[in-house]
Amino acid sequence: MATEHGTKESERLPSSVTEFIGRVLKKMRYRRKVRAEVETELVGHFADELRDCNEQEQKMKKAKQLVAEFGDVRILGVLLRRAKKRCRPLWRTAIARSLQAAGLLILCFLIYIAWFFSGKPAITTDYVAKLNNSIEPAADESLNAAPLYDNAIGLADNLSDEFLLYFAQNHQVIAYTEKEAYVKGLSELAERVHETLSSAQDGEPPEYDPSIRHSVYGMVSTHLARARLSSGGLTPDQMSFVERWVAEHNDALELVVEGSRMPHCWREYKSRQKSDGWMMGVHIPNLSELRELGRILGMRALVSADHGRHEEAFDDVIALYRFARHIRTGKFMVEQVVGIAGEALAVQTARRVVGSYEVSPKVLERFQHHFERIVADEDFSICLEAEKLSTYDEIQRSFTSGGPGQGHLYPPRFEELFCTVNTYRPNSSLESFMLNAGQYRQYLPIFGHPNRQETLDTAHAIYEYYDQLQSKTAVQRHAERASIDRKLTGLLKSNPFLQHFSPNMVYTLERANRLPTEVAATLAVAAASRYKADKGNYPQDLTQLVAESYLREMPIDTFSDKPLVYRKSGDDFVLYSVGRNFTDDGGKPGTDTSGQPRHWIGSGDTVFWPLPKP
Amino acid sequence: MKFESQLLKGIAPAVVLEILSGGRMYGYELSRAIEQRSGDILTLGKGTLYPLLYNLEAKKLVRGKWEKNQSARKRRYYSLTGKGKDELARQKVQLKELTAGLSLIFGPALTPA
Repeated sequence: MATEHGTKESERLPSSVTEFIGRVLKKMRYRRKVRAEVETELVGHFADELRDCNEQEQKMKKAKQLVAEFGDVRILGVLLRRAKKRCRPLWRTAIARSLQAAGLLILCFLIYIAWFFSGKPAITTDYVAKLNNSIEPAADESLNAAPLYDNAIGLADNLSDEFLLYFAQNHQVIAYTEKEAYVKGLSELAERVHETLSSAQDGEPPEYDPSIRHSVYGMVSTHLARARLSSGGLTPDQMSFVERWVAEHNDALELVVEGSRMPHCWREYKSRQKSDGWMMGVHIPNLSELRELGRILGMRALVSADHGRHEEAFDDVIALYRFARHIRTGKFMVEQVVGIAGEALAVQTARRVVGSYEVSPKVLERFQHHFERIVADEDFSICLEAEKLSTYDEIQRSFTSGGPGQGHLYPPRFEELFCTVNTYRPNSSLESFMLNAGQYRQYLPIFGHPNRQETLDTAHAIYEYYDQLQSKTAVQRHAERASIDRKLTGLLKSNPFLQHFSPNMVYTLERANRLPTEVAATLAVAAASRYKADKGNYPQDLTQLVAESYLREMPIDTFSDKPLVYRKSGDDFVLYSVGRNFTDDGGKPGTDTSGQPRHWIGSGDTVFWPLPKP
Repeated sequence: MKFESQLLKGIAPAVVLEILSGGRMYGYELSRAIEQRSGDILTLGKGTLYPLLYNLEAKKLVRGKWEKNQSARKRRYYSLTGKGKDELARQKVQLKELTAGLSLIFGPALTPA
């Protein structure tokens, strides 16, 4: 620390002096260079004071006196430091103050971080139990359709050996596309069945791999679903396959029909995470299997109609509609969407039967009246109960509770939801630093994210707004689309958490709005067909059907808030909804990218009659 | 003589500036000069000297500079700056007025024997 000159001089000083100077400099606690200068001065001062002392004893005594005169080590050190600090130039002072301010900010930030990360979510409400409590069994369990449907599913994919053989021999007829990958999939599966068959011992049943039945079930379901059977146009071979497929499931379908006659359908929801009722872990059992059973029931209706058994066909249509409505009574939106699709399939199948076969007026009347009773006062609204409870459940699991952390988004949950893990391996330390900086930057939004109470309040507001949207018609929502989008964007934009968990209600509402229009169109088609059978030609307009009691009320298009468009066309008629673009395109149907007419596509009208050509 | 520290506290800077107005000095030299010129009446405490010099340096009233003297010893010499001269003149005026006021109050009791 000392300069070379100072060192030489201090060596000649008594140890009490050098010790004193050392302690003063230690108490001073300042920059090394400054302390070295002060040391040189102090050493020089003591050296000058003791210069005239020739004898050692005298020197020691004088030194002791001088040390006492200099005073307290600590006070002197402090005074020297303060004085030297005042001597430093302005730029050095500015740097020191800036570093102190930065240090203070970092300290405050670290304290904030510690506080922020100290909280944890507390799960206080079992929302699954709450959901189940809201499902009050309307009656005795013997009037609950759900167990019958579960039994039907148990029978469904347990395909018989005979059907597997039939599939292996006829699989090529059901390929809905010529794309090699899909055809190859069918062929490979058929090959597996053949291999199992050929490896069976004489007289012994083949031992199929347990997955084969399930794979065949899935493959056939997919291809038949994609073939859009309700659009008609099947070849005789395809129709034979469909009949075989339907026959294979007859026992299951009878259970479905029996269940559809039950007045009620309810089931208890169970979460994979049993201990604390995690809503997102709720397993909605067998939904895809139920949907497939609905499709097969629709196929059976078409098969019956094809064989002239029109009454049986309409019975299956009614059963399908009721079955799908049971699914739609589920609390989760996905169940309701699947149910809506099933009900739509039912009415489309009914129109296919009316349009493709010569159905007697008596059968038509029976079907129409039966169907009118079923759909009278039907509630087509969407229930958001489960989605709402799911959101609240996720909030309680993702935000810290009161206390430390005070309701902030829990960082591990934030990471799970929003952060991506970079698997790139850096080649240098600079790359590594940049990578880590980028990784940590993903966490920055967490500090500005709304807290638990704010998120809860926003969730309340969103679901209240969804309820308001439900009370509006599709036409009103279309007219107010811009303000609806603004409102929803405004509610969600500063809350990434809710953006992640909010359901797409606007789209779901639009899908729900299609169903009453489809139902109204089906009743109108049945009524018009009956009118023609009685009078020899179709009515001039729909009011005639109502006036002459073929229809109870005018069929309303939910996409115009007016009656469906009906136009007599020669010996036929056109019946359509203005469709999703809310514009009357004169009955020009919307088409897909391949030019095929499709219902409810973004452009064009949805034409219910005449049926599209296969 | 050992005076009350509060009594000397205010005049110590003026004393140092006055001594340095006669020429540059290093710390020990300054300390000796104060004692000699005051007839050993005033003694600047050793623990006060250097903090005082550094404070005066911070206020730009004195300037410190390292020099080697004839015996090749390195010493820090302090000299008065222009600002220091102005400050000295100002403090002299104040001291003069103070002395006059005290003389009026205490009368002949303040006159040295």
